[in-house]
Amino acid sequence: MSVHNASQTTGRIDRWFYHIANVFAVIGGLGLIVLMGITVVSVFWRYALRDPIFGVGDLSSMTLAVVVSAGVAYGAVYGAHITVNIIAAILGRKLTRLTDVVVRGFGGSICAYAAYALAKKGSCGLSCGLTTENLVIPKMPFYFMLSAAMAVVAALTFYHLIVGLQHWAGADPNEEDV
Amino acid sequence: MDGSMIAILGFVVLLLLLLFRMSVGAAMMLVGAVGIYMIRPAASLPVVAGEIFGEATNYNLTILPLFILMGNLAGISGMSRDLYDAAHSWMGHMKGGLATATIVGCAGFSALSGSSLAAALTMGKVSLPEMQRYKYDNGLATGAIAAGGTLGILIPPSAGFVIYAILTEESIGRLFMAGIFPGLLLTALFIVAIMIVVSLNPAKAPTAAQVETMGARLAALKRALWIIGIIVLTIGGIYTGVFSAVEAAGIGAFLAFIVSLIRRCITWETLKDVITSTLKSTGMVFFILFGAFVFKTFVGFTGVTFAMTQWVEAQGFGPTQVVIAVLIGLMLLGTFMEGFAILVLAVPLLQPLLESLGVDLIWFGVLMVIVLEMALISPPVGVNVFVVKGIAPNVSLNTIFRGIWPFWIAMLVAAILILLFPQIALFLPHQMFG
Amino acid sequence: DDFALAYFMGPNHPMNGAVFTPFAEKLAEVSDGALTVTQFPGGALNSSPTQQYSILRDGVTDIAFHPPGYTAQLFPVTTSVTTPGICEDAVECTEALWRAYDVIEQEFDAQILALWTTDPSVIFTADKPVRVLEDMSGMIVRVSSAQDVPFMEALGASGASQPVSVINQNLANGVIDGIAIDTSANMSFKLDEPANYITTNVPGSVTSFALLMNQGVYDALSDQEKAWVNEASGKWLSMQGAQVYHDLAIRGLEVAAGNGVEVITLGDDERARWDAAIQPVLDTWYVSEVGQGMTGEDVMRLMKGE
Ligand code: NA
Ligand code: NA
Repeated sequence: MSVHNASQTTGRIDRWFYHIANVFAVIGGLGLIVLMGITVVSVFWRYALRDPIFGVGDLSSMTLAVVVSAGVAYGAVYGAHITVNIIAAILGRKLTRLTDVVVRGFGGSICAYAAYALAKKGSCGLSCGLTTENLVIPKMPFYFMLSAAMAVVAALTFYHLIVGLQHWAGADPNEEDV
Repeated sequence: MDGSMIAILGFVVLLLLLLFRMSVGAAMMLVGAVGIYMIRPAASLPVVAGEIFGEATNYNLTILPLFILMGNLAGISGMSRDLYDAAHSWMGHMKGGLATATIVGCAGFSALSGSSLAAALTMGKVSLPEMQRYKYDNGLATGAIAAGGTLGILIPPSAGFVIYAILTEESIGRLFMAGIFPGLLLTALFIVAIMIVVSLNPAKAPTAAQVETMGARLAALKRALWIIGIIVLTIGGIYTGVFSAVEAAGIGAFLAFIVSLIRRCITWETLKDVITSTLKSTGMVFFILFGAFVFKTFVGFTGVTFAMTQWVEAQGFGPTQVVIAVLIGLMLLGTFMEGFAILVLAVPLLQPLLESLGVDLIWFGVLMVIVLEMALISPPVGVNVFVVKGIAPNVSLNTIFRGIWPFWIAMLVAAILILLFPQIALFLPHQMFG
Repeated sequence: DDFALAYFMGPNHPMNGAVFTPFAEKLAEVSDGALTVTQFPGGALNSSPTQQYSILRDGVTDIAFHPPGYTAQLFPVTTSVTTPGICEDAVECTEALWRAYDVIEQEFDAQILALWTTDPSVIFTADKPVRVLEDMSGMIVRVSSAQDVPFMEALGASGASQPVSVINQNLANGVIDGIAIDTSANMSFKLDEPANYITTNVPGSVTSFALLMNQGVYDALSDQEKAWVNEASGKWLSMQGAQVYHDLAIRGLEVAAGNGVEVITLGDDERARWDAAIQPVLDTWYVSEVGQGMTGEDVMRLMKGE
């Protein structure tokens, strides 16, 4: 088990991933502040002004989607996904470089599938009733943002798969982040 | 192939993928999506999209980033350090007092942070140098940090309780309240464990810090009042029902932000750190939740829980027998599996069974979280131990794991006490307003 | 064929006994076991109440229970039945829905198996009894849907939206002053614990419910199978659901009264004042475009059978 830190290789592709992650982080950071603000304001309006804001939960929910998308994309690039690392210790790199390929292939595929599923479902939009219940906020952009985040995770995982194959003989720079 | 067979196959594949180091979220999502496809091809894609979107926009889950943010702000404002300093100043001079202060500091930090890793990491960085300075035994010192850190998911706020609540649709607020007395009980048992260890082998804590003056102690306490105030406000607000658990998280984060401003701890750099680390933790937990809910839907499609419930009924097992068997099973899983993984894997499977037996799911949630805490420190895979190893590179993993046992036993005692006296967990939620 | 029937409530929910199981039993009976239903209760296929129509259309389930009010913008005519004054109890309101069936059918991208409502809402309050219109002034009242907000404001109160699972606690600790909901909810949510007063005979709104079959699944059935499904569903099933909800509402009020809640029933004169207060909102609705080229007034006439 380990919490992996970002790869030290500073290739062009790595830099691209960092750029994308940083864009997500800026949006997510704003989302986080908005989320905190909405909560404080809604409590204040209800208690101090005795005038509840109708449907404020809808705003919080959609803001959460922004924060979560950012967190998933940023967390993947800057390494936050927990894996169990017992087999590496027992079986060694000879076997793990094989299992890593399999696991990265599957992992990238399911994330790509999720990104596709989110984009497909989200594009149905208003005709499928994809709005929030009270404020009728369209959900489509939030589906797309989550889809983009999953796409980043998928792309990164496939990238690690390729880097792993390139380092087949030596040490894998992304060894602990499968 | 019938549903139960597909479910069993799914579990086996999932365990294999986890063993091969696939991330928990991706592994559950993969097995869930493929499993659903085998049963109902048309359902797979919409379930994946629907569950991801559903959890990413689940109002109750806004509590996670907000409490994580609060904990991180408490860190940069020095408020979490204040707690340790206060404990150190009041207890440091006692026999084994620095280890005790570590436990108390961890307990206090746990009331701000929902994560066991964060508690072990933050308190470890502060307390380990102190304990090493006074020549404490490495096993005792690191064991206290690793174990004390686990209080993070028992004392509210707790990411463990939030995920359990979301999976079982129990009230987050009530689960938080249910964690308070067990958290204090476990804190006390940890301290007892330290006292026993030190009295059996005084060499493990050879020296003690100097007795501080009452003035210094009060000054340390006064500085910690900020953090204590926030804790009392948020937890008290939930208990009295003045605000919901979600609102408490928002208010708590806001107050921590204000304190950080007052203390002039907000710079561009610290703000960036706080936000990116909040995003990272949020992303990590949600990625697991995405997988967990796709997997949970898969389990729902297979009907395996119904088959299991019927089987248990046919055997005539009672609720107590089942709960004990389940806890022992989870403890075994906990040796080699990570706590969150166990939680999201086991809860969808267990909930229908426990409900049919009339088991109180709040009570079970507390027991389960204690078992997860044991998983965090039990060899061979103990996340908190690895975190402590990161802070103490010179101490071997074996030494840390050897230092764990007194605390592991304290956890077992806590679990048995709560099993025998459910009121320890259930008193507060039952007293709660509303 | 075996149909998957998904709902987000537990299997012991009265809806199951009133509608889901009767449908399944009738279907098995008329088809002589050729068509069966497997239940997925407790949100096993998706636990979000607002997502049930979505999982039905996506084919995650064959049959779903969905309250149209959760996606009101998709069902403007159906949800018009919540407008105060169209009908006075669950049975009457369900009749009203079925009078408009040909129009309502157009709103659903699904085969309607049953369509029914609750009784109209009453007002539960904790500390302040509501005896006259003026008592509503400044109150924060939890309403079931966005459509209810203008009516609540016309009465002098503010409308708040909250998940039904937290309203008991929120009434207890004063987050809200009152709850506008039908009395059957007292059976599920024990509202008589925090509430001390219930005001009835107010111009309240009903909640509508639908049991739906995926359109593709229905279209793929043979004519014989369609006939079986039609026989096992439709108006009779809906009226049965309505009756159960009407009985539950009566029972809920009795239980509340038995637990010491004071039941305040507005007299006819007072009720007339309330009706007058909401009339401007109704007037606006009458002339508004609801859907399928119908104004609010058209929909109301259709539902009332005028
Ligand atoms: Na905590
Ligand atoms: Na372990």
